[in-house]
Amino acid sequence: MKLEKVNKTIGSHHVIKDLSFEIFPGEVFGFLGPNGAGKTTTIRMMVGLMSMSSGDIVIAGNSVHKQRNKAMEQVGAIVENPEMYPFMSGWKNLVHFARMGKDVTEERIREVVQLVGLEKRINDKVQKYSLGMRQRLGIAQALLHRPSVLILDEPTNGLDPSGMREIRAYVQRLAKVENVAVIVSSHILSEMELMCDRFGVIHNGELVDIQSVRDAVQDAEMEVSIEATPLDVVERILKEETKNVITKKQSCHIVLEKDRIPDITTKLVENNVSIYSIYTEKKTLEDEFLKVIGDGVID
Amino acid sequence: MINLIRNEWMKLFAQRSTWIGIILFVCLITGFALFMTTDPSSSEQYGSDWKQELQQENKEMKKQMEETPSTASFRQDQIKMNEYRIENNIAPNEFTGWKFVQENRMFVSLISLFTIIIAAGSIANEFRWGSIKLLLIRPVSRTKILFSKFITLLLFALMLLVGLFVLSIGLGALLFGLGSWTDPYVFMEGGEVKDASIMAFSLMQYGFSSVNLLMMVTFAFMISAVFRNSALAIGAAVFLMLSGNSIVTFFADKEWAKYILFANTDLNQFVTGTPLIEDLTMTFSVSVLVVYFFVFLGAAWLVFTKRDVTST
Repeated sequence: MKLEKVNKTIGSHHVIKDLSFEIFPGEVFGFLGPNGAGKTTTIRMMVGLMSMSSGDIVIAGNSVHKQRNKAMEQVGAIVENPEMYPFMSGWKNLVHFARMGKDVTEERIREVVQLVGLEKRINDKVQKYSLGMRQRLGIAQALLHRPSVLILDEPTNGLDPSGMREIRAYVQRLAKVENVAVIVSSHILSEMELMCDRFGVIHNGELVDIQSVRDAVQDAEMEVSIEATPLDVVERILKEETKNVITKKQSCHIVLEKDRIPDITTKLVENNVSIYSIYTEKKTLEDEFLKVIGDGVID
Repeated sequence: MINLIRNEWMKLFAQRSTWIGIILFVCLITGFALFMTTDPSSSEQYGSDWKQELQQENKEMKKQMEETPSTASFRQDQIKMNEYRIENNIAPNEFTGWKFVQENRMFVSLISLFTIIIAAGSIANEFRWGSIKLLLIRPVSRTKILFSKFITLLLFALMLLVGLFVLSIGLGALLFGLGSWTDPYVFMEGGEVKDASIMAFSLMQYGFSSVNLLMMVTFAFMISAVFRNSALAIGAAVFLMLSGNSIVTFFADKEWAKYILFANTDLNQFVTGTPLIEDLTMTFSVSVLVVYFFVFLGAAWLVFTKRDVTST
């Protein structure tokens, strides 16, 4: 799936600005951005719910703009909430969407139901489902026609922790084993960190950053807390390293690159400081995210 | 396309309101039939010497015509029809089941109302439920989805119309007796007396009554597609359906009045009555209707296929 200089103007708002990126088969791509950044608009353009003002989106070689139906054969999606027909059973809902796809057999429907673990409740009406069950049915619906691109908007919304883990494992399996390109958007960043291989951050309609999760977390400087006495000596030594030292009651805090830690430890020991603990706080995706989007003001 | 229509049909009948509507509808017709059996005024009896009775009737009417000339045209028609019967040896209809079948034509407007409500929801509800997002991301064009919905509506209306016709004949036969299927029915067309088999005539009347239904359902469908709001679509369509004739009467003296949709929806007026506006003809009305029909569908299509699906 490839986005090429996609623009979208709604009224006088230039909502999406020259958005270009690519998602490859076999990876889970996290799509991040604060509310109003254009995440949902982008996803809607990917699946043809909204038209593009300019640019194009190509899915498995088919332009969403020019060969819409061919492109859509390759896509399974949940856009925002998985809203099914509440007055029909889960099974009938799946039959409904299966009829709209190519060659989806009843056997395939059964297979998908089993995959998302809804066998027992599939004949209940959807209005009796919990949010988590609806989410599962939504995923089932997106998988019916074996798409090569799967787009999940907030897939773990409403799931309990075990449900989240299941979906996570399942999404990763789809990517690795069946070589599906998965696009996930979520505001639960820790969740994204666990699920995704790569992520792109969109802010005010522009792509501001795109990188793999491991890079993002390893490169970063980390916050180091040192609990030791006497604290004034510690503070003096740390200040030689950087001015930015925060001293609390029993510990000092400093932001450092990882490979500076052994040196500092040696220095502290040489100065007869008794060290009780040194621990590092890894920079999380959340920190990275906040750094990239700044204060998150929408203009 | 067939799969899409099956989908729409499945969704339609999965909703409880559809079933409630159908049950109410059947109850109303049956109730009306039972009510008619207790109404004594409904059966005018003619004996075996009906020819004399009709001649007597004509004499009386001629006398009345001289006294009150204002009602002359109606009586004149009646006299002509009676003379036609005597000449062609066609006994006047008693209140047989057929008359009941014809009276039940008024239920067509109930079918209109019912189908309008469903038409109003057919697109608006997909937006309200949010299911439109799952519907429009399939490898099926929006045009096909729109027309599968419209065809489903027409099939549903047709089902109700056939149901009404069959139920009316059934109840008519059961409660009043049908007599013959081929009894000639005498009516006026363009100042001339004609007769046709009762079955054919009733079917024709039902057919003409369905024209208004088709137009109003198409209208409601368009509003539903354009404004994505079912209440608005129901309101606008029902209002127009009820006030259509008043609108025509109000503007009747204007040059363009004959182009108003409702001046043309009642095709019965060319067969059994006098047209609302004088220079209307069957051909003209049918052309006007066809134009309206395609304008409604065109507007629905244009908006439905072109507009973005934004947050719902």
